[in-house]
Amino acid sequence: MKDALSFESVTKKYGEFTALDNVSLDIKAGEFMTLLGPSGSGKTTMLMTIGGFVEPSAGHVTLDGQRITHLPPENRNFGLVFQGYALFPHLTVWENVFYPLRVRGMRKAEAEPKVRDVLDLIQLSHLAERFPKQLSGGQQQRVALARALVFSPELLLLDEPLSALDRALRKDLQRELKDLHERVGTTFIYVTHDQEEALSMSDRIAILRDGQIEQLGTPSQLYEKPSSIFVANFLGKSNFVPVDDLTVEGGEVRYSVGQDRFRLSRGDMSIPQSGELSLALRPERLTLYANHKDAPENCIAGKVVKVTYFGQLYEAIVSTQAAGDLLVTVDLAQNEPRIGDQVWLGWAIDSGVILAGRPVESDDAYAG
Amino acid sequence: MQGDMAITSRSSLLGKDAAYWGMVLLPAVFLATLYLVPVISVMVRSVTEPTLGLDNYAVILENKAIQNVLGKTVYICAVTTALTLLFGYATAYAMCRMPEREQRLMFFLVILSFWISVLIRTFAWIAVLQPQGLLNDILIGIGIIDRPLRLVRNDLGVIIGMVHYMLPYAILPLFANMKTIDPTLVPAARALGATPRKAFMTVFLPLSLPGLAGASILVLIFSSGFYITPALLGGGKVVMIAEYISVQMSETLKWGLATSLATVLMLVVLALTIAMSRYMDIGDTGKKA
Ligand SMILES: Nc1ncnc2c1ncn2[C@@H]1O[C@H](COP(=O)(O)OP(=O)(O)OP(=O)(O)O)[C@@H](O)[C@H]1O
Ligand SMILES: [Mg+2]
Repeated sequence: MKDALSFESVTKKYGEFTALDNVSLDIKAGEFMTLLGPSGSGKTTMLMTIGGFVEPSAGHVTLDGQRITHLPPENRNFGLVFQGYALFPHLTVWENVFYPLRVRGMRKAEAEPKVRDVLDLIQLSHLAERFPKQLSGGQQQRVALARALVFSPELLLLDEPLSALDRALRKDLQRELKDLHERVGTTFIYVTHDQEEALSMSDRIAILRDGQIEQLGTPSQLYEKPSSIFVANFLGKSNFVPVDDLTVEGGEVRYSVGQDRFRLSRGDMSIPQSGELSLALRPERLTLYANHKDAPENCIAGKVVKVTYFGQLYEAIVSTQAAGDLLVTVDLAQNEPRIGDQVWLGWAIDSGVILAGRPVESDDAYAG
Repeated sequence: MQGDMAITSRSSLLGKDAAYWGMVLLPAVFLATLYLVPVISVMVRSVTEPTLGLDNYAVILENKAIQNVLGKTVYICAVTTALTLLFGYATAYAMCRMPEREQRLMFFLVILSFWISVLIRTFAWIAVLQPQGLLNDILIGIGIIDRPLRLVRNDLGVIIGMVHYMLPYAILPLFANMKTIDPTLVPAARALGATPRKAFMTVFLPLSLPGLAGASILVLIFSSGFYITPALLGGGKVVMIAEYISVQMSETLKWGLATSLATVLMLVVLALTIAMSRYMDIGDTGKKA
């Protein structure tokens, strides 16, 4: 697939502060690309640079190989959905959706079929004569989408479009958005700080941290093979176990945690060799066993200290000698774990990744 | 439990009601005696003095001098209002786009001008604008002109003085209104393909109409009653209706004519207020609470 939009070493400074630090990124045509990162990491800055509202201090933005760095927003033909929707309160739904066509010199009669089509697409034709304040949050969101799509933009930029909505509605709209992306085939560039949303919707995710792209990849690449503790921590839950000693022999990594020795098949992972190392293990990659003989080669003894019931699964915390407290998910098909159980925790030799550094204490990290 | 609470709150509401009506009634009586009574007596006089009937109003319709005064008043008020709105709008718009700190400073400067009395300002303008005044001296000094410009004792002087006085009254309602306009709307319009000019004309301007309506009523009403500024800066040559009424009352003692003119002025202002107030609150301007 060809690249639709590229960042070429883009830096944006506000005085002394660097909001974007030498960012390079190629976004493919038709892709659903998500920019994910904590607050202040530069997501909006990046999106507004694409939209033409932020001028980079250095570097270039290109569209189909053409530099558009200094092109004013109105000449870019990108759809932009703002976080607060930014619907025009003095115009009806119909007039809002007509607006981009109107400023392109189209007359009402001419635009009518287009506006109707896109209102049908978002299933709001029956509310065309309402004003924005007479709509629910979800409906306003859909109008904003329709308005950004009606002129067939080359890209659709969305800045946390669902963050103002409640959870159930957000789920519905996530599905609708994904559906819409498939139907219209436009490149979507989507900003969010909701990791679940990013994982379920995106073709690729760029994780931003302090104005830099920390890691870029498909949702499963990022989730299964995070390249840093930051990413492992930011996407989902992870256990971090301090690794004491590590040797690489061909396709195999041997590591030790305290007195216990484990094996890891290397695959195409790059293993950091020096400095402090941690093993990142997802809770769902760990399995509970009652007896040592049932457990796989990589296993560690412990005692269940806490069990939480979540409806579709249990989460248990198992206290181990060498690795500290580990979080484990147990699905309902397995026996319910009970506090005080002596158990073995096992994981496959292709589970877990070795990362540089040790996690800083935080609430979601189950550090060893 | 709930019933109890409902009863308590109802009885306390009744107690509050009494206090509420007391607070409303007292000023109402005060206003009625000090405003309504004189206004009614003005209206009554206009049809009873010197004789019962509409003679005074007939005079207003026929008398050339009065028509000139009315024409001048309408002209000066219209120009003043237009210029004040123009400058006020530009200032308020600029203030809206300033960083927080500068905005507060500007706001303070605008408020500051309320502290200076109209008389002082008027004399200050004479000092600045007169033939040997500050402005002419400077312009001659740097060689832009070689004879003093006639900036005062004419319509121009009156308009300068009035616009200056009225500016804060336009800036404040305009600024208050513009602050309620969602700042992402204009960027949104730009992203949808509007040039800055078009985004302003199709989004910002329509949303600032309530502010414009409010400001224009205020300025129009105030300026129709201007008295000191036209008298001093007009140098006796620019007579507006307020001054004319005053002359009829205190010098020629034609109270009937004076009160009928006052009634006309009042009715015009009332009609304008009603007409403009329809535009004042077209409601939501897009700002999220
Ligand atoms: N106009 C500006 N002037 C100065 N600093 C700015 C400006 N705009 C953004 N910043 C700074 O740049 C950094 C990145 O901001 P940005 O809005 O891109 O963050 P974000 O990732 O979108 O965060 P959020 O999730 O909170 O929306 C922040 O630290 C912010 O304070
Ligand atoms: Mg943001």
